[in-house]
Amino acid sequence: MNTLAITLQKHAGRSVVIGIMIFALLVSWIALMPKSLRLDETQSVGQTNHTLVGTLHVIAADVHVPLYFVLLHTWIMAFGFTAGAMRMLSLIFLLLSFPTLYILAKDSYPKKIAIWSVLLAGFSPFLHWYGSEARMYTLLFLITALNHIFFLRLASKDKATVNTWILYGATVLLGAYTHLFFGFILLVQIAFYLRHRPLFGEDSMKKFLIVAGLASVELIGWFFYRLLVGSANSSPLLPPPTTSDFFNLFSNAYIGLQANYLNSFFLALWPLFVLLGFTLLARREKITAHTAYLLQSTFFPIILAFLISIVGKPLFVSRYLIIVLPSLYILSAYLISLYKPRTANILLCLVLGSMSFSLIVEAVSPEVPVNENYREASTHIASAAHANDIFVVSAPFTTYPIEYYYRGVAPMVTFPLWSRYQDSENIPPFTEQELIDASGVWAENHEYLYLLQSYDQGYEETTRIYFDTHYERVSHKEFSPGLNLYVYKLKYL
Amino acid sequence: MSKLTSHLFLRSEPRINFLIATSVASLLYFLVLALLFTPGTKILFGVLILGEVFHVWQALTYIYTVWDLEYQAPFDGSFEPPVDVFITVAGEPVSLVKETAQAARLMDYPSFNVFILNDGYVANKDNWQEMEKMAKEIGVGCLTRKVPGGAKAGNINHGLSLTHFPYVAVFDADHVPHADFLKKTMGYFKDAKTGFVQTPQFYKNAPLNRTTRGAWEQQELFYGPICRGKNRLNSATMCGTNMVLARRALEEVGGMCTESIAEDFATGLFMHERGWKSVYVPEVLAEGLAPEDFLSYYKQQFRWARGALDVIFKYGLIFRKGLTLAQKIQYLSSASFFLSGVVVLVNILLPIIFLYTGLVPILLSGMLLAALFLPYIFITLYTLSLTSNYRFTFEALSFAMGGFWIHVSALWAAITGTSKGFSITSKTGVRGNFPALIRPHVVYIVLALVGILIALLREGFSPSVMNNLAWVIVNISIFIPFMRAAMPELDRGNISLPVTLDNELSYDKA
Repeated sequence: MNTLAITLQKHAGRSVVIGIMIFALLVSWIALMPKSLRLDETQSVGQTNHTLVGTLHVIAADVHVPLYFVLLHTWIMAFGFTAGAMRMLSLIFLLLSFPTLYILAKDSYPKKIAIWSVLLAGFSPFLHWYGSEARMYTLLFLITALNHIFFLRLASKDKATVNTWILYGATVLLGAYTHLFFGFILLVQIAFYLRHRPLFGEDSMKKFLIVAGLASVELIGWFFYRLLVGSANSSPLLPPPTTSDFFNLFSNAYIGLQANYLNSFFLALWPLFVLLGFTLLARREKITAHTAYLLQSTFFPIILAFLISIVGKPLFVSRYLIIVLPSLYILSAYLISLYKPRTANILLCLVLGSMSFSLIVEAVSPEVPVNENYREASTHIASAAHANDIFVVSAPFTTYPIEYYYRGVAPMVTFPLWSRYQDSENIPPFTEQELIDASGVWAENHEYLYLLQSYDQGYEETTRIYFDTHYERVSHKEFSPGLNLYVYKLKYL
Repeated sequence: MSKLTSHLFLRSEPRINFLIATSVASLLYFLVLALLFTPGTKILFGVLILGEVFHVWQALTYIYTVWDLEYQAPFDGSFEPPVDVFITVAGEPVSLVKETAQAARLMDYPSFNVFILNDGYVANKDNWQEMEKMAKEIGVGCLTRKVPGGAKAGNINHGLSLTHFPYVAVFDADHVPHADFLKKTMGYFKDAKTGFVQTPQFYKNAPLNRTTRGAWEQQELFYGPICRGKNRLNSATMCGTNMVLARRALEEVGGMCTESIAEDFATGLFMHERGWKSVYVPEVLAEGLAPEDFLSYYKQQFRWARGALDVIFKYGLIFRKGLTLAQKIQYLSSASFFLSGVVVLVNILLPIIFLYTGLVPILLSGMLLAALFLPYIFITLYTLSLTSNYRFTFEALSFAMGGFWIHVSALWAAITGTSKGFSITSKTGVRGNFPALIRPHVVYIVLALVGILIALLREGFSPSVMNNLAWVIVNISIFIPFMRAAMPELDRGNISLPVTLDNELSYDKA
C-alpha cells in the first residue's frame, strides 16, 4: 500500500465528514436556499423581529421554547432578514451535525460505521431540507446528537469525567430549550439508566438528579413566564395521526419530503424490511448496551408521540421527530455493516443512491408537498390585482409569508378575519355567518376577489364552494401543492 | 467451528418480558386480523386466518416450551449399572464405524459391552463381512442380522434380543461418543421411572457446505431451547441416537416401534404414555455427521416429517390416553411443525393470486397491516434469537421455509397412507446438483415473474402491486439459500449438469 493510500485510509473519517459538509453547503446554496420562505419560516421572522424581550414575549405566546429564536434574533441583528441570511443559521447547525454524528457513531462502533452514518445523514433529503429552513430543527438534531455522545460516555465509567457531566448537563439544558420533543430523549435516557444502572458510576444517580433538577427549574421558569404572558392560538390544527403518518416518518428519513405517489410507492415496499429482519438473524450478533440505547432512542420517541397523539393532543409531526434521526442513521449503518462486506457495500450504495435521487427530486420537483411558493403567489397577485380588488388569505396564519413577500396595492385581509396586531395571537374560529357577512362587504366595495388558500383548517372547501356558488370564478392557479389562488369577479363596474 | 462457539446453542436463557411480549403480539395480531379487518375474497380470508391460527399455535407452544430452561432432573453420579452400547450400521464405511466403535469402547465407565448392530447383510451392502472383521479386530461385538424387517428399529430390537444388560445406549454409525457419555447420562436412571435419556445430535461437520450448515442451524433451535424446555415438561423427544434406554421400558412398549418411519419419535411417545420419564441432557456428549448432500438432507427431512405426521394421523395423537396435558401439547407441537409447509405454501401463493387476479384476502388502506405486522414479526424474531442464544439464522429459516414442499409431500403421504411421497429422477449419485428437489421453487419464481407483468399491465405501479411484489421478493429471497444448497455445483461456479438416473427414495435409512 503506498503512502497516499495509507494517508487516505488514516484520514478517511475526516475526509468524508469534510466532503459531506462541502456537499451540504453546495446543495443548500444551489438548490434549497433560493426557494420561497415557507409559513413556519416567516413565523420565525415575525417572532424574532422584535427586541430580545419582545421576541421572548412572542415566543412565550406560541408553542415553542426560546433557544433557537433567541439565536435567530441575534443572528438577524447581525446578518439581516433576507431568506438566505436566516437560513444560513440552520445550515451551520446542519454542517456541525456531521462531525458530531461521526463522533457519536465512532464512540459505539468501528470507524467504517461512523463514516457510513455520516454518508447516510449527508445524503438525507430530510436533513438537507431543514438545513435550509429558518427553524430550529437542525439545531435540535445537533443538540440531540451531542447529548447522545455525552450520555453514552457517562455509561462508560472511564469516560464519565467531570467535564462529561458538565457537557451532558449543558446539552440537556440546551435541548430542553430547543424543542419540547427533546423530552422524549430524556425519557429514553431515564429508562435506559434504570435498566443499565451498573454501567454508570456509583454517584451517577445524584448527578443525574442535579441535571434533572436544573432542567426542571429551567422549564418551570419558562412555563411560568408563558403563564404570565398568556398562551395563544395561532398554530395550525393537527389531525390525529394515522399509521401512514407513523411510517411516513421513516420514508421522510430516507427519501425526504416527496409527493404522495412517490411516498406511497416507497412505503408499499415495507415487506422488504421484514426481509432485512430475517437476514440480520444470520449475523448472530448480540445487541450491545449502546445499540440497545440507539434502538430505544429511535423507536420510543416515535411510539410515544404517536400514542400521545392518538389518546391526547395530536402532536405527531415528522419534523419534530428529527430527534430520532441521529440514532436512526447510525443504526442503519450498523445494520448494513452486519452483512458480508460485498453485500453491505451493495446495500449501502443502493440506499445512498436512492437517497441521492430523492434529494434531487426534492430539490427540483414542484410536486414536493412542502414546497410553499408564497413568493410566487404574492408576486403574481401583486402584479395582477388592482387597488379596487381585495386579496383574501386563508387560513389566517398564512398571512406571515404573504406579509413577507406581498408588495401589491390591493388591500389584504385574512379569512376568518384576523388582525394579529390587534387580536394578539388568537385567531377567531370560522363561522358561516362571518363568511356571508364578510363576502357581502367585499362584494360591495371591490371588483375582484383574490382568494389564496393553503393549510386547510377544515373550512377551505366550504369557503371555496361558497364563492363558487355566489360569484363568478375567473381563474384558478396552484403555485405549489395545496397553495391555490382562486380569482372571483364580485361585481361589474 | 470451535467447540466453544459450536455449543452456544445450549446456553440460552429466556427473557420473560420478551416471551410475554411475543405472546401478546402474536395474539393481538391474530385477533385484529381476524376480527377488525374487512375480508376481501372470503376463501382467501379464511385460508389466511387458518394459517394465522397455526402461527399463533406455534408461537404460544414455543413460548410455553422455552418459558423455563433451567430444569435439571435428579442425577446420581454413583449409579453405574451395566450398559449395552449399540452402534447401528447399515452399510456405512467401515472406517467411519470403526471410529465410533473405538470411541465407544474407550468410554470411561465401569461396566459396558459395545455391539455393532450390523444390518449390512439385510440391506444388501457389500461391506457387512468387513464390518464383522473390523469388530473382531478392535474387540467389540458384532450382531449381524440375517432376517430383514423394521429397518433401524428392527436392528435395535434384534440387538436387544441377543443382549441382557438393563440399559442400552444407542449411537448411529457416525455419532462418536465422548468418553464421559455414560458417566453423564446413567446417573439419571437412579430414578427407576426414567425410561430414556437423550443428548443432542450434534453435527461436527456443520461447516462443510451449505447443506450441512443449514441442517445444523435448523437443529440448533431444536436441540437448544426446545429440547431443554421439553425436559422440564417430561416430554423429551427420543431422537434415535446419542441416547440411553431402560431395557424394561423398551420391552414394556414392545421394543423400538417398527411400524413408524420415525421409530424413535413413536417409541418415545409410547414410553411416555406408559408413565416412563424422559430426560434431556443439554450437553454435547457425542458428535456426528449432518447429511453432506442435499438429497440425503431431503430424505432425512421427509422421513422426519412423515414419521411425525404419522403420529398425528396414523396413531391419532389427539385421542390417545396416558399422556399428561403438557406432554400431549409437546408432542402435538413437535408433530404439527411439519404442517407448516402447507401454511408456507398458502402464504407464498397469496401475493401470486393477487398479481394474477387482483384478489386479496383483506381490504386495506394505509399502513395498518404494516403497523401490526412489523412489531409482531420483529419481536418474534428477536425472541427467537434470544431464546436460541443468537444461534437461529437466516439459513435455518430458509431451510425451514424452503422445505415446504417436503412437508406438503409428507403430509400427502401421511394422509393417503402411501409408502412414499415422491421419487427423484434426476441426480448424480449423492453429489452434484438436485434441480428436481427445487422444482416447486423454480415454478414459484416463474409464476411470480409472469404475475408481476400481468399486474403491471393491469394497474401499473400501484401501491398494491408494489406491496405484493415486495412479498414475492421476500419469499424468493428466503428460498435462495435453500436453492443454492440444492445446486452446489452451480454455487461454486463449476457448472456440471446432473446425469438422469432413476432412484426412488427408500425410507429404511436416512
